[in-house]
Amino acid sequence: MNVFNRNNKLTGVHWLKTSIQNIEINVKLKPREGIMSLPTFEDYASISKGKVIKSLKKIEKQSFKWQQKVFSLWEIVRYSDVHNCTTDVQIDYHNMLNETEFQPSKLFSYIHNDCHRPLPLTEKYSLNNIINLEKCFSALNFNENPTADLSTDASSNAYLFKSQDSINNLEEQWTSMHIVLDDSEYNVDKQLVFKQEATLISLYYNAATNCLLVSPDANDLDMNPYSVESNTGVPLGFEYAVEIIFDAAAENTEELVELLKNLQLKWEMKHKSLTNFVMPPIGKKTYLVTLEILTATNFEMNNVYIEINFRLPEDLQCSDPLRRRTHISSALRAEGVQEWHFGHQCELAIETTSILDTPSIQVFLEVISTDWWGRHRTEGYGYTPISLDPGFHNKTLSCSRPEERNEIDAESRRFFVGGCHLLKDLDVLAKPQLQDANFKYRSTGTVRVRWHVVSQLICLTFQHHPLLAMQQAVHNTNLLGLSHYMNFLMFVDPSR
Amino acid sequence: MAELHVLGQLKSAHNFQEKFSLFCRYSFQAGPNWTIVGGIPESQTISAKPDYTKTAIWAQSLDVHYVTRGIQGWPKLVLQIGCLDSLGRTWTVGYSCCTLPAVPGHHVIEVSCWLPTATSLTDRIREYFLGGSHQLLHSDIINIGIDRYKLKTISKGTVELNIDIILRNFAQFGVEYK
Repeated sequence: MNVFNRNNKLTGVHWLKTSIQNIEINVKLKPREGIMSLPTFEDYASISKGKVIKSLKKIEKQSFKWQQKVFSLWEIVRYSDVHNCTTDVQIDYHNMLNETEFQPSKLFSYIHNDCHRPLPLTEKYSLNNIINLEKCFSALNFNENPTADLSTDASSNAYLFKSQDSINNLEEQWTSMHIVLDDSEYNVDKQLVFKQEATLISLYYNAATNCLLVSPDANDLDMNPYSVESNTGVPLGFEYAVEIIFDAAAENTEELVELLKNLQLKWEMKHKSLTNFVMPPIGKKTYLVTLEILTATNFEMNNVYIEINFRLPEDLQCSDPLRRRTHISSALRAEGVQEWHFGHQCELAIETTSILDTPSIQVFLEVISTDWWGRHRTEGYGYTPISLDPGFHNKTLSCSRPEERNEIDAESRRFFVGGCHLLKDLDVLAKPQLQDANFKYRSTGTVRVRWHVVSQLICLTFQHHPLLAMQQAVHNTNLLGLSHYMNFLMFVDPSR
Repeated sequence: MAELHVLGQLKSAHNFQEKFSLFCRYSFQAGPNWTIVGGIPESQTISAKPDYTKTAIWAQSLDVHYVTRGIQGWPKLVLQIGCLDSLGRTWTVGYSCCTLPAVPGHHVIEVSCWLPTATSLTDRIREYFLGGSHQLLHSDIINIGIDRYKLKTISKGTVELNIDIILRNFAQFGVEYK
């Protein structure tokens, strides 16, 4: 059967990375919340409500360094009188009190020289004695309370364990320190009426193994507070928490700075990768043109596809193919209208050095039909210029085919051969003045297209790029000739 | 980082000749610069039976949030329309793709659909009596504008999209879209 142990105090063992002198022990003490801690009527009548509640939740905090001596009131009273001092340590305390004015503290400390409690024993269990598993478990002392030694009254016989007069043991490894609550009663003259102390924390440092034994170990005041008990186990109406900072001197310095630097570097790299937007080269503007061939209607022949030819001005560069062909589509007959569906996407990434002028590109469409024999015949040509103004556009293009001026020749050619005369140079569609006078053009159908344009220019303020500022000014005043000259200056010699 | 928020509705299908219920699998495709930070980029609508006007209403809501590091690879919506017959069989009756508008605001977009045709007589007879259709092995061909003139297709109906576009921070990176 397991015996329920109401004591939540557990001993902790810490191996120190730095010197023991760097540790700092923080103790937080607060009154236990309960009916006994409530103010009396007299207290409540004299003090306002808010102040009473505030006082109830008051938490005392005190920090101790390793082997830092803090005196209680009765210690100060006792050691102030030299006749009470018998040992060398007590005389040292007397001298300290004479030299410096110490304030009595409710939380005070017994250091190693005070010999407040016995030091831990370093017992060595020999493996030869362990015959079976039961003996092994008994050797591990699982049933022993690690804080049991704290509950024994050691005040009366403290100096029996060690004295300065005794011979120094060279094998001495342990150094101790105790933080104690002084709950004694004093009269008006600061004379001790009733002495009551409660040991809150015992720290034992083993120099050989460089480990620190903390009993009880660090805890949280809100989640798992320790109860302050007298040596006989009677609760004294207080709760406390222990916090140990192992490297108080270096905590805020080098290691923290290094950590913050690494964190900042990581954050900057992450931020850079997230915010690194793909920009065009300086002095260039990029256009993203997406042309969709949607539908074709009213063509005579079935099974048509469309060949798309893009023509770009000389100052535009594009690495994408400028000639595309859609799939062959068979017509959908709806309400007496033949319609061919394509849904073909043509994407062009265009780059230009002309930043301020809005260029345009030419799109030539050639609608071609295929027959059962695999012959391809042109059904019509279409043309539209596309201005690279950013936006979303829809357009229905009319297509036409060239045929002979003589209608009989044209009809007979169309009936027996099919198709139409092919245009060697599609520029004829863009420049009607180049048309051959022997041919006329007949409308054949329509093609519906949709396109959108997005442009991007590197974000340089005009202050950063004086040439841009000058060019903008020139453009604003419509000095076209000078604008071209500035273009020339900017991109022929970038160093200027 | 610039952001693109696509809200809207995959509304309906028109003029599909199939008399069975129609549904649509859709997915948003974008270039490597684009990352989806919210919404579902790939899903399927309900199956809706066309009415006497050959209109099947889906009213599937769309909500996708992109962040991007560049305008290249602007997102597209790839559609794959299928039909569900009375025996529970499904097959594809249309493919299509549309580029999402780059202009903020509300857009009504009609997307024209097509389907690879049966190339041999036996395939046509099989389709006529047993149903089914030819399908694309590689669906990338739908949204990549490469030459595909060797692909024989038949025109199918149209899909209506209602889309609202919200753009953010594009102007900071020198992008003009309207």
